[in-house]
Amino acid sequence: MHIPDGYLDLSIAAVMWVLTALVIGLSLKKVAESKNLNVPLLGVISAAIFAAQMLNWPIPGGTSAHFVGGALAGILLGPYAGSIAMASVVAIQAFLYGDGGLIALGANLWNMAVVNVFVGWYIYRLLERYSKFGAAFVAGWLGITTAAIFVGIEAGLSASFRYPAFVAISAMGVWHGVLGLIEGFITAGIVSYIHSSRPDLEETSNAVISKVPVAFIGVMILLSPVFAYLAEIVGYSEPLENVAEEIGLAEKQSYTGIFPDYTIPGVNEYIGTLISGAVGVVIFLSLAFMRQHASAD
Amino acid sequence: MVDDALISGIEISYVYPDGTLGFDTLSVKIRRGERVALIGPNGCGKSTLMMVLAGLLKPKTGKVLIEGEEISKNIDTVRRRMGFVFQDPDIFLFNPSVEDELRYSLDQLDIDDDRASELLDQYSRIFELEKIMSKPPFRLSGGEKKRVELASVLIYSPEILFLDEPTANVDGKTRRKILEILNSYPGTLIFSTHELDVAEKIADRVLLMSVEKRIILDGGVDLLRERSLLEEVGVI
Amino acid sequence: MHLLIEKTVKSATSYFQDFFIHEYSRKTYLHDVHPSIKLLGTLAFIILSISTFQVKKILLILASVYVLALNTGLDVGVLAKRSSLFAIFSFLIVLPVSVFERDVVYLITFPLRVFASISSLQLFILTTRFSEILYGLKKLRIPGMMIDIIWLTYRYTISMFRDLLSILVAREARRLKKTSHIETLKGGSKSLGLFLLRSFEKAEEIELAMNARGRKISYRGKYRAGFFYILYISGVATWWMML
Repeated sequence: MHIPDGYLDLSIAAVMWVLTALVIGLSLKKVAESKNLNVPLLGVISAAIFAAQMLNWPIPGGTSAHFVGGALAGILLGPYAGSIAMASVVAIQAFLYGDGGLIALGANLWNMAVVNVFVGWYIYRLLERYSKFGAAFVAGWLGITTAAIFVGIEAGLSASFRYPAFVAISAMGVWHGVLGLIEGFITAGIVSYIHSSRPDLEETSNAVISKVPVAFIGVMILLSPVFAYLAEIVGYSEPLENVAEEIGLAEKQSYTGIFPDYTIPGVNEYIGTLISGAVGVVIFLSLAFMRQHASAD
Repeated sequence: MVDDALISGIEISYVYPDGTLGFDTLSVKIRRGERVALIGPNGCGKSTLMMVLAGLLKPKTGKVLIEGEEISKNIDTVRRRMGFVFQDPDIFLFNPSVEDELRYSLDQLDIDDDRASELLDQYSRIFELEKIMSKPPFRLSGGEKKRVELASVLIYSPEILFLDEPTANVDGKTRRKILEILNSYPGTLIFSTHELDVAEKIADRVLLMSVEKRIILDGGVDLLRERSLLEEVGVI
Repeated sequence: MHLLIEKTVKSATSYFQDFFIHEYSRKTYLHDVHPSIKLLGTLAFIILSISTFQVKKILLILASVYVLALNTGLDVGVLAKRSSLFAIFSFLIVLPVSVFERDVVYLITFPLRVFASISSLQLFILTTRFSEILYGLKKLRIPGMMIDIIWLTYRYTISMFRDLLSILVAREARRLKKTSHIETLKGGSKSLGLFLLRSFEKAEEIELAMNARGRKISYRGKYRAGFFYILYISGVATWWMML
């Protein structure tokens, strides 16, 4: 579920970063305004979700599955706090283990902390009047499956990842649609346990949530594949190389040695060699100085 | 000599997933019918050692045998011969009501209804739970929780009983009740405590653990009179 | 249930081994560079590795990262090992499409890009404590509230995990017959419910304690600007453009 760097085109990764920053930023604002949510609570509950993710569930066939908890976070804490809790976990996984990349972190946060949480929460709210167990099951199942489909969309639309979008989307969707049943089952078990043993706690997360911002986030989730698609159309896949070519830096001839064989059209060959030599010297000297300063203080 | 050990831990040690040492390499034998008190300062690994001996946690090194066979091999049948009472009733009790707690074991053993209600009556009487049978366990007082915990384990008559600090955080009355019940318990008993009089009243063998997470002494209850040693280790 | 506990203990053990990988004792130049600069440098390395499919450019970045690691005295083997899993995984992922399109170059370049960018990130992780990373993020204007929550999550993960483990063990202690996978799922998720209820209670206590002690979490540090680090990356980037 964690996309490493290298799978997404820069343009798509950038769009996902912008969308994520908007929603997480809004969530932070909402949580800061809330009376019964606070930083220690969110820190501890995020740690609890992180710990719960470490459980290694045996499933038939000798393999195992992990619980993710996005929908659960939304159900327990409400969508805003839930998305922050998941964001905290996903960020730790990236910065502690390198699970998922840094450029791709925006997309990973979008899928696991925004899509999974908001979709899961919304489904639960929609269905809970019929059955809490059933609602939590569907929320856990479809929340994770939708998140997986978004992974498929983002990677599938990226030119770097050669598979056609429909292949990536259906591979992710089908696989997680099956695994998601376990996520649903566990989510349902947790929610109905909490409901049956502490019904008094139920209402903390069910504080009234105004419709407008949620609808806005819903529209953003729905439109995010379109944004990603548009970003791809702009043809932005290798901007640095484009820049390099435009300012005429890129070498047109074949590569001949260790150091760049450098010429700028219309410029003295002598200066070109000088610049490439300078680059080599800079790299060498900075390495030498870093080494020299290694054992300082 | 024929090995008379009921449970034996051979060169066992335990390390928690986060790298904390549970207890250092040690060997220990528990004989049938023994009443063993594990004493030692806080954090010396008493609970962890009991969990490993009960087959609840797999030792990092070494092995645990029950009647000469590796405990993990027959873990499902071993479970019903054992009872383990946790120090913190809040993690041990998870059913909606006290009655459900007591029934939890009986249901698993498929005990028929008549026999089950007989046992329920008997144990709710022994542990004075009649008035709280329909209450949710988390609403109870500390002493009540402890009695529910004990009742829901003793109700299926395990032949080996582990207790983690059975008298911690309970009032005098509950404490007397617990001591009385443990004194009449007929099976093999292994419990941890740092209350010396509890050990003295119930145990016939004492294992002393140190902060280095090892067993440093193994002997009769007269060990408990070695005041200066116990003070040095940090038990008193 | 015992299977769930055994598998979890096993996987968590290897997971937690990495948890303190930042708690380095040695100091190298790279450890001393301001975490914000290092984070930006890492981003630069990653962007350079993933904005090209030219083998020589990717190899340049890969070499630059490993030379930097070697030069600062880091265990290059550890770095490569920590970075290889996803690269191998990526190789397997793109294997079918490469075969289908008969494009051997893609089969090499795609995982190589992934390997180069993960190596850059792992180099950052291996030379920066978690609290330093958060300090760096804070200086880069990531909202303080988010940073505090991330720090508390990190801070409490181990104690929450120990709590969860003892709840599972307590349930296992009360298991008197063989259970199926479904029953394990049922019992396990009830345990998780209990665990979360306790987490809420614990959170309340921690909040009170934090109120008593003061809510502000301070991330401090004294770092150098990392002039030579910046110079090195600029040199590599220029070379990358010229290739």
